[in-house]
Amino acid sequence: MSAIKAMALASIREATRMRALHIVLVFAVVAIAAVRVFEAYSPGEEAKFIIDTGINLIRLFGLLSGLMLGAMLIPTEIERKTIHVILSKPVTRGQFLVGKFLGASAVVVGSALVMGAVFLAVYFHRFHASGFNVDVLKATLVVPFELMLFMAIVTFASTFSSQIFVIIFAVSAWILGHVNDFLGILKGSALTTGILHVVGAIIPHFDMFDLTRPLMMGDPVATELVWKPIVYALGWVAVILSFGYLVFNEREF
Amino acid sequence: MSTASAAPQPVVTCVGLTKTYRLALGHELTALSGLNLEVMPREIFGIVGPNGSGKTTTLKLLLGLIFPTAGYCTVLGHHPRSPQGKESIGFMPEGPFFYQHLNGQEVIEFFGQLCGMPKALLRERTETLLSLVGMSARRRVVMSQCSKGMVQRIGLAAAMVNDPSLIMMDEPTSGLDPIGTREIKDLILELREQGKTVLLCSHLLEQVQEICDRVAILHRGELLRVGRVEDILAPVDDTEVVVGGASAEFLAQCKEMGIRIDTAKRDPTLVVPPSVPLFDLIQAIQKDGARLVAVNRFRETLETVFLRSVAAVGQTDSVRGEHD
Amino acid sequence: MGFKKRAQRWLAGVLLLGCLVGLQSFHDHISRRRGDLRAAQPWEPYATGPEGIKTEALKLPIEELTGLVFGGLIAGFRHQAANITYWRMQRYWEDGHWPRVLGMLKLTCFLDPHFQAAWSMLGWHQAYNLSAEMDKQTFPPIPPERYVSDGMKSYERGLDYNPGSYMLYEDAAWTAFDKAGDMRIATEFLEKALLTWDPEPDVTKKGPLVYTRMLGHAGEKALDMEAALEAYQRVLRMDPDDSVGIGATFTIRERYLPAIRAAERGDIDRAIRLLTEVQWRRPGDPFVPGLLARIYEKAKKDKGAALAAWERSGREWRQKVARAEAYRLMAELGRLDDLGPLVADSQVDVRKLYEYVVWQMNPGGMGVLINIRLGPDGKTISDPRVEDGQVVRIDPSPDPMGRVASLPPGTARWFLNGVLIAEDNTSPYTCTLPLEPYRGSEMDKLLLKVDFVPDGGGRVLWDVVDLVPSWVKPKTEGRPGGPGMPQKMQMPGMPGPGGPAAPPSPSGGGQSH
Repeated sequence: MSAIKAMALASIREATRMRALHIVLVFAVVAIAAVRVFEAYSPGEEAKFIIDTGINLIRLFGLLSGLMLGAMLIPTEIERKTIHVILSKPVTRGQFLVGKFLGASAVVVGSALVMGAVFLAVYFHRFHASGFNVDVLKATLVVPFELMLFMAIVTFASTFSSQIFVIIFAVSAWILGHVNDFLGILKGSALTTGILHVVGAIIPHFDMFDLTRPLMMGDPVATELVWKPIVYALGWVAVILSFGYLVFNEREF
Repeated sequence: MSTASAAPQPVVTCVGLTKTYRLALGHELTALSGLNLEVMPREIFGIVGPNGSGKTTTLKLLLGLIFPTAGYCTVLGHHPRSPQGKESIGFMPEGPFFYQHLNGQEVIEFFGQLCGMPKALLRERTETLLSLVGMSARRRVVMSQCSKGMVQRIGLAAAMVNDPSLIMMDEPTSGLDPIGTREIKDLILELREQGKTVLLCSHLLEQVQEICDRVAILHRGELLRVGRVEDILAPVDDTEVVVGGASAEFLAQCKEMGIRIDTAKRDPTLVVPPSVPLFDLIQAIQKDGARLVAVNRFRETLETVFLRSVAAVGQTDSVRGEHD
Repeated sequence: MGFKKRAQRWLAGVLLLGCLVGLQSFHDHISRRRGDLRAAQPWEPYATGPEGIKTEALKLPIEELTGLVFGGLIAGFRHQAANITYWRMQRYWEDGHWPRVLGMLKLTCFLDPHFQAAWSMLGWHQAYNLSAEMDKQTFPPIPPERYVSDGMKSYERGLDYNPGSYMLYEDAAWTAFDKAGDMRIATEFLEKALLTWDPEPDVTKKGPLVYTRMLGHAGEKALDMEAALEAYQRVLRMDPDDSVGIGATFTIRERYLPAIRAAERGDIDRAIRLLTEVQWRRPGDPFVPGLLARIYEKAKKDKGAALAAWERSGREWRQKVARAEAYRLMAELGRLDDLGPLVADSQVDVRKLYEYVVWQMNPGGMGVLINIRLGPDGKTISDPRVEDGQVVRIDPSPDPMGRVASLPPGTARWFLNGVLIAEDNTSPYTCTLPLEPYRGSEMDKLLLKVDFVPDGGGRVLWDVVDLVPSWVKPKTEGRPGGPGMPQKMQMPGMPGPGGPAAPPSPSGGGQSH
């Protein structure tokens, strides 16, 4: 465990000192705080605009920082031979992988929490008359887990590919994960449907982390719609990292 | 106590160690072919060879970074990928590159944490190592601002943080200035004094010859020679005579007398076998009107041995080629 | 690699695949729950509709699907993309680029079916803007009713995704009442708007009062005076001093209820007499002809008299209910050929004729119907756009989606009532209308048709290359037998002397009070 902790802490320390990440976070916070400036463009739909834009900005900037960190995660360590020294220590490849994932995820999730706090402050400042809406908090809470799942995909990709391919792979998985349900309703030949089913099974469904619909409809956000996707995300993280370990364990540096 | 238990066990054992890389279009490249090697405790063992000879491949195999195609190796009696074995290993790669935003002290502490060292012990050990590698005053400099030599020193400290009994080094003096090189060499010698085993790879034959107890010469993945340095550099009775302004006729006469002539330097160097009377040769030099620059006892170097060994392989190859 | 190690790896792989299957079924479970709890984001319009993706997807303005929007769509930022398309729509709106506004709104609703304001704008845009404007931009002209109907469908679709949306019920009710003239649907939506009234978006804060009044007006327009009276009673319970409620209650009780009660008692003659008296006293009463028509048809089984009453109602008041009823009765009586005099009174009904006649006679093809109603002198052509010797031209034009079309070199053949009247092979393709032979004839409508054959064969895709008829001035001015009013006096949109009189302002049932 100490090796995992050391790997994670080093990754966090390294990431939190990255100037590019600071810029992204500052830009994200400013953008989220400025959402209210643009709400006038959606007359009658201010709440929808603020929720949509706020939560999507958290996801967008979380995605960006995830990609930035992910591209550096393992490919850079291999390229710069840091991994040689690390693996010469009593550290298994599994510990290395999990430590890297936890470190990078912690940074992305931490950034998402900061952005989420800013968003909630903006939202409740605008709609303070309606009182504290716990459903907005719930809808915001699942986003970091969506990003954590994304980081697992990034980690998996980085076990076998170069930086640029990590980005392509992770973005493709993100896209497919969001259009999964859309693909599911397409009608086609048996072959097409079969392929779509396989794609649906091997790519996590990211759309289940979107809880904005009940907010739009004025429905309560059921607690099970929060914890079940979180469990789903953690399950996927475990599976993806296990696959990553199988690949990484056989990799030569 | 039995005799077997009294005999020191090798720290590193390679048996028929082979590594073949698969390339595109079904081609293969054999980086290491059937290496048999043993490194004994408390010795400085050097693996020498030109670029592409298989030195780094050997180290990577010993560290479990790559997997052998055939044969096997053990390190401290363990499989190369076993964490138990790695608890007593330190490794310094060629031109190490650490996390850019961490400073020297953090890098050393990070590697100590990887080894599960207690905090207090790690702090103490970090202090010792920083002063050992001469980085105490520059401990807060982040890696991105460190010179190559500073990074090399931090790399060495990181390799030794867990007080390993076996230290592997890949080109340890690469990129260092003469003073830094001297310091590293002294450090390696000191490690031996502390009872540690050092396995280093280098193409700087002079340095290897200077500090290593035993060497292995690799060429194109094959082991050409292995043994103690003094055994490889067998004593010879030849005399080295440096002459200036010698005529072509004189040099031709020397060759006829069985004297080897090295014209690489500004003044020709004559390697005189014991069968040639040295006094007669000096008289002949004077007669020729040439200038006697120096007379030394001839010492063979690892470089000459290496070149001779490589040349022999080349001849064998060409003979094979002719027969083929 | 040893067998044991390989076996371990395979075992791990199989175990992980099992985990994937487990996760998939867990996903299915969560998806079901999200569906049950209305948390799943729907895909509009793919998720609904029997025709599925293939037809509906093509209706999306693909050319507007820019990289940003597409990226947003596929990368899980649909809502953000919807906001962007909505903003872009507003820019087009300011420019008055209606087809692009339509495309943007459709895209917005596709991206985010919960965007209530977008559905509201879409319905309104179709029912009001496009129905008024687009017939001038497409050829053959799309009947305004079709856009109104599309607008109503958009509201209903928006309500499918946003049930209980006060904003959409309100808009749908008003459009059904004011534009579609369907009082049954208007009443249905008004009742729902009243149930879901939300003081937040209601600027006037008087929604319940206003919409209950509208219920009354809708009841009157639907000739359901009992329902109207009940609605006005509700209005008076909310505000006893409401002048509309008081006036309407008196009017219904005084003018219509006695006749309705008489008819209910079976005293049909008295009912007819009472209504006829009202008609004499108040010839402008909009509802009496309809009430009479109902009594004629249902109580006296006299469809001819009912049709005459509806025709009177429709002609004088442009009531859509009246027209629909008249059309129904004409069909039942086999007199659809008589549609002309009924529908010639307004532009709206001329367009309806396109639907009835041109599209049935010449489905998918080109055609311009020239409606001729003989004036009092028996010689005037009623269509203000047309006169004898009129030059008609076909031009390629941008289609509603903004794609630029062009006409290839070819030959245009012009037919008037099936008779070839001109052939033109040079652009612009024109013909001169020979209307003189028809003057004084029995015919009250002519069909001008153009067939265009490109050089070298092939077909012009009329649905892409829409043609706009340009009604240009006659080549010879001051021609005898021309329109009664000189050209310089003819203002756009104003009918000629033989044309219909300006209809009274249709301001709903309340106008009678």
